[in-house]
Amino acid sequence: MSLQHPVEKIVTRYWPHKDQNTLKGYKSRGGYQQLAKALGQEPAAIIDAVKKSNLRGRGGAGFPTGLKWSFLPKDNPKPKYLCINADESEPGTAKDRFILENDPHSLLEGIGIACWALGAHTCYIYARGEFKHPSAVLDKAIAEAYADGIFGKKLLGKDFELNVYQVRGAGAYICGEETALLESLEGKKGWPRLKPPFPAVVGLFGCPTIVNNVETISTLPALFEKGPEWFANLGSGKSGGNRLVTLSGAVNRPGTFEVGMKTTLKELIYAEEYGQGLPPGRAVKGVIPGGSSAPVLTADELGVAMEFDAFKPLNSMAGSGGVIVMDDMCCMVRSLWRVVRFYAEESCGQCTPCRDGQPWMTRILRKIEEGRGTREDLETLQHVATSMAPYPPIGLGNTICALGDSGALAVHGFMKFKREFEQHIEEKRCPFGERPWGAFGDFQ
Amino acid sequence: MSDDKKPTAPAPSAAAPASGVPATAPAPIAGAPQSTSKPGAAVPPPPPAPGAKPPPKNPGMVTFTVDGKEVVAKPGTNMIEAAKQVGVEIPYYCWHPRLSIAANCRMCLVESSTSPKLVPACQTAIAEGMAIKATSAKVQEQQRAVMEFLLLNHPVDCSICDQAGECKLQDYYMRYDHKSSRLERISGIEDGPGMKVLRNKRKVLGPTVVLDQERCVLCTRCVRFMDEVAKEPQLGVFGRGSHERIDVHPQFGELKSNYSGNTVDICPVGALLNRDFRFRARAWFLSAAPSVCTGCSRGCSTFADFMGQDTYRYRPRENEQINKSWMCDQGRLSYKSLNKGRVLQSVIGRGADAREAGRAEAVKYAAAKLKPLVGSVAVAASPVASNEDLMAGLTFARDVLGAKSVYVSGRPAGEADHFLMMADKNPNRRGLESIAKALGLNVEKFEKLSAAVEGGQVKALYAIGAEMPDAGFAAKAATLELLVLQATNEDALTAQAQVLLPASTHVEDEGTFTQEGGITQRFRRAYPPKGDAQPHWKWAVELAKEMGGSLAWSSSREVFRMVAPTVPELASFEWDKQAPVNIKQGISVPAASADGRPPGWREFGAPRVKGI
Ligand SMILES: Cc1cc2nc3c(=O)[nH]c(=O)nc-3n(C[C@H](O)[C@H](O)[C@H](O)COP(=O)(O)O)c2cc1C
Ligand code: SF4
Ligand code: SF4
Ligand code: SF4
Ligand code: FES
Repeated sequence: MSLQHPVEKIVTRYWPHKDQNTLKGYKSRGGYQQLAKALGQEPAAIIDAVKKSNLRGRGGAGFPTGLKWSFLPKDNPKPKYLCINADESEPGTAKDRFILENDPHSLLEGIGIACWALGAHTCYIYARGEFKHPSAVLDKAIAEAYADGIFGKKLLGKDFELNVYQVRGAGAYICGEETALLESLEGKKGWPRLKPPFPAVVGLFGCPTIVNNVETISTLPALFEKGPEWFANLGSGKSGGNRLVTLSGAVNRPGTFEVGMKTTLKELIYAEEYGQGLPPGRAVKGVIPGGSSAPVLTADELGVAMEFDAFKPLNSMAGSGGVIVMDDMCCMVRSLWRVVRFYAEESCGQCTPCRDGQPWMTRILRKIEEGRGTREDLETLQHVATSMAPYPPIGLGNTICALGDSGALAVHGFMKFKREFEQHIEEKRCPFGERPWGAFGDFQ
Repeated sequence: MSDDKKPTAPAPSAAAPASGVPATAPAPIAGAPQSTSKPGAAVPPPPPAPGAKPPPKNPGMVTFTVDGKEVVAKPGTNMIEAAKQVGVEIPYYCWHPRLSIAANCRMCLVESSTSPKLVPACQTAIAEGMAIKATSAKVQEQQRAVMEFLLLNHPVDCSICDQAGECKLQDYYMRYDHKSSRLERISGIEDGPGMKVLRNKRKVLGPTVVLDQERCVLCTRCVRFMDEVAKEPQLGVFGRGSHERIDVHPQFGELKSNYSGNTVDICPVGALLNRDFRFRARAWFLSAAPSVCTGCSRGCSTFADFMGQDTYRYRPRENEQINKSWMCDQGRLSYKSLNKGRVLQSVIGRGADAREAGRAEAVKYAAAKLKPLVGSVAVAASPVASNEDLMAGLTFARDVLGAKSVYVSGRPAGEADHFLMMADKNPNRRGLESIAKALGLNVEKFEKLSAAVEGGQVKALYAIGAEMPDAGFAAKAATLELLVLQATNEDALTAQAQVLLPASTHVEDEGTFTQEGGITQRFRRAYPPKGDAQPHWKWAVELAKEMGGSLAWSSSREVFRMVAPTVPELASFEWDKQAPVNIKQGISVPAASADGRPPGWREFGAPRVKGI
């Protein structure tokens, strides 16, 4: 299968160069020129350009980045902060880590541009605790940038102080939620905050703060190199640029790929440059399109483009770009159980529906998978999910943060495969027996 | 407990209870970015109203509706309090009017015209024109669901839980859930235990508080209280998800605070329990009398919870001016002296001659001894006694004993702390001083009396109250020719009295105290005086009568009405109106059960079962 819309690579374009993660290599390909250019412009003009480019947050919500930046109060005398969310822990997602490993200076240059635009003199990069190698690469890159006079008292020689710090998390998924991230940065337990106020108004240490994903910010140098109009045109609709997705599950060539906003899920799974289809004899049963929180799609729904708004009519979402393919030999009960167990494990425990609902759903799913389930259990499961977050549409959650929605949305989504759940109940066993993982389980 | 469902009396001498939301209440900020969090973020912000906003219906106020009823409230009021104004109750666990907002229990979710989702009423400020539905089917279903979640891992061991009867889980279960649990049973056993998450059922947090982690609903009220009110951040939430639990921060080791008892009060369930009260009584057998703590000169408003003629505990009673909703542990435990170590019988004679006597005999004996010494009897009064006691006692001293001055006795000074507790451990020093002054008596320091007794200048003493600031005074008092002592509790001095008259405590009579800030508070009678005890004022009246004086008061109310108008500090106090009348009435215990004791009864001093 070939692509209908060829993709001009921007984020991953220099990844094949092994020295791209060094300052020398990065500079040899035009690195830090966009920062120098940006420093010659008015901050307001940069924010406008970002707005025009239709750049949207790659952390999961797809929120327009320029718009988010413009919420930063102008007249607040407190310092402003930029926080980079490198906590990437959504199951099925592994894109930020490759940016950090392959092209850390694109993030740092993006940080320079963003901080100049936002008037922030401090930037914290909050990296996932398990990121041993990516963090080491990033630390080296930061040190190089300081040594080269890029960061510090003067940003690239301009009279604008910027300090960049990397902070390592301790391995909690919830600390990727932006307000939990701020709490964690402040040295507290990673409990999401109540909103409003939003971080742009009251954020880190009570000061105005912008939280952005690694991919979002590391896109900025390319965006300014080619211009916002070009960037907007590259995308489609209200989503500018390309995006990184992580393809996993029952495909021949799993991996992290740069796709266009017009690329469809089908193309991603079957195209030669991407997934190269499923192992012989297998067909798609379901695809999780944006990290395990995103409601699953059926094989009939794969014509959807990978653009942020395109998922809305399907009541799913582009999320963090974690695409998980499940083939026809994969047990959906088992898969859902695994997904919900993750959220039960990672719930911060602050609010009641998530704290008690996620483990309860896990227990019910286990019961069904083990052949002990009843029809009432299936009803209870849906009932519990609805109490946590009614669906559709996405976004009606009754909890403090969206992790509560995540488990519930997974359950709601998997109800497209309700027949399989009923089969487990009727047969009092898992029809897939000892091999519930489909093609994925065939790998040695 | 003290914050919401218990009768809250209006604070004596003015001030309505607080009705505003704490300043920390986050009000939605117009134009703030929408939630950018992962899946939930798809909610579109409510579309901005086209054109200019219409002016508010009531200028300066916010007008909106709750279940169709129009409410006018101050801007910034949260939905829970606003709905209360029109009698709509929105249930809640984690919200507390005196703590910051946590919005974690999710019990208070309501429908609002301003949001596509359910909104937490505790966190959301009302807005002009907003329509709230607090009892719609959708809301009720959510309340049921939250109750089910909370009870999922709850042990429901109400039969051995001290909170039973005053537990929000119980109350709300009856009102909002009333369904049986759908939690999976351990396979094969129909009525077997569910697969609940087990935690520590008896975690001793410190000297006063014990925690049952299984009963905890993780509302974090206790944590926020210690952080924000007591300013001793010793508690925290440990772990994650459904294995989360409350515990003491390791650096503290144990919960050691003079305010730890309040965490028990604000805990909406039976998770935090007071070790002193644990397994003592069932809440429904206890009656509550509005009272005042006599532990120090702050005079915190309290409820004295009692059964029969015993007080079982104090609980803080809301009083905006004095103690808000709190009290200190020292004061909380001071109720014990109401039950133990009391003087309950008149005693005449000293040492080997001492013998118990009836009230009439004792009064006759005392009068006979005092009469020849009129004019030379020194008078000491304790600021632990009530205004009524002192008004009667000092009037008797002046008019009948011919006293010109009064020596102020009372408990020795102790430690003060950063919040409520005062160094002066006497509840009524202000009252005593103003009454003495109004009666034209010189107020003298106790040291002077002490020196005069030692020097032999004072040979006879009439003392209202046995509390003495000087521990050595009892020994000096042995040299007195006559000591007529009205005392509530036994101590070294009571042994030296020629005439010992048992006095009742404040819970055994009506009366008032004036605390250090000059606020006078009324307390209510819980039960009649124990044994032969009677109030100080009554002893004074009887002694006066016996000695030919003209005091003829028959109640503390009468004493107040007759004397208080002459005391400037008390003249304007409306004794009748200030009395909080909504006493909680416990279920009266049946006369006897199988073993002759009422159910739920545990005598004081009964040996405690090891390990509870
Ligand atoms: C439970 C939860 C986990 C999240 N984890 C991450 C994460 O690991 N990385 C990330 O970039 N955003 C994560 N987000 C999204 C962030 O809250 C936030 O939307 C994002 O960092 C904003 O950046 P963006 O605007 O650049 O997308 C998470 C959200 C939730 C609710
Ligand atoms: S939804 Fe879950 S993760 Fe989010 S605050 Fe509530 S308990 Fe914590
Ligand atoms: S806290 Fe105690 S009284 Fe309340 S429901 Fe639980 S066991 Fe019963
Ligand atoms: S111990 Fe009580 S007050 Fe503290 S969190 Fe648990 S339920 Fe709330
Ligand atoms: S009272 Fe509102 S969430 Fe707990």
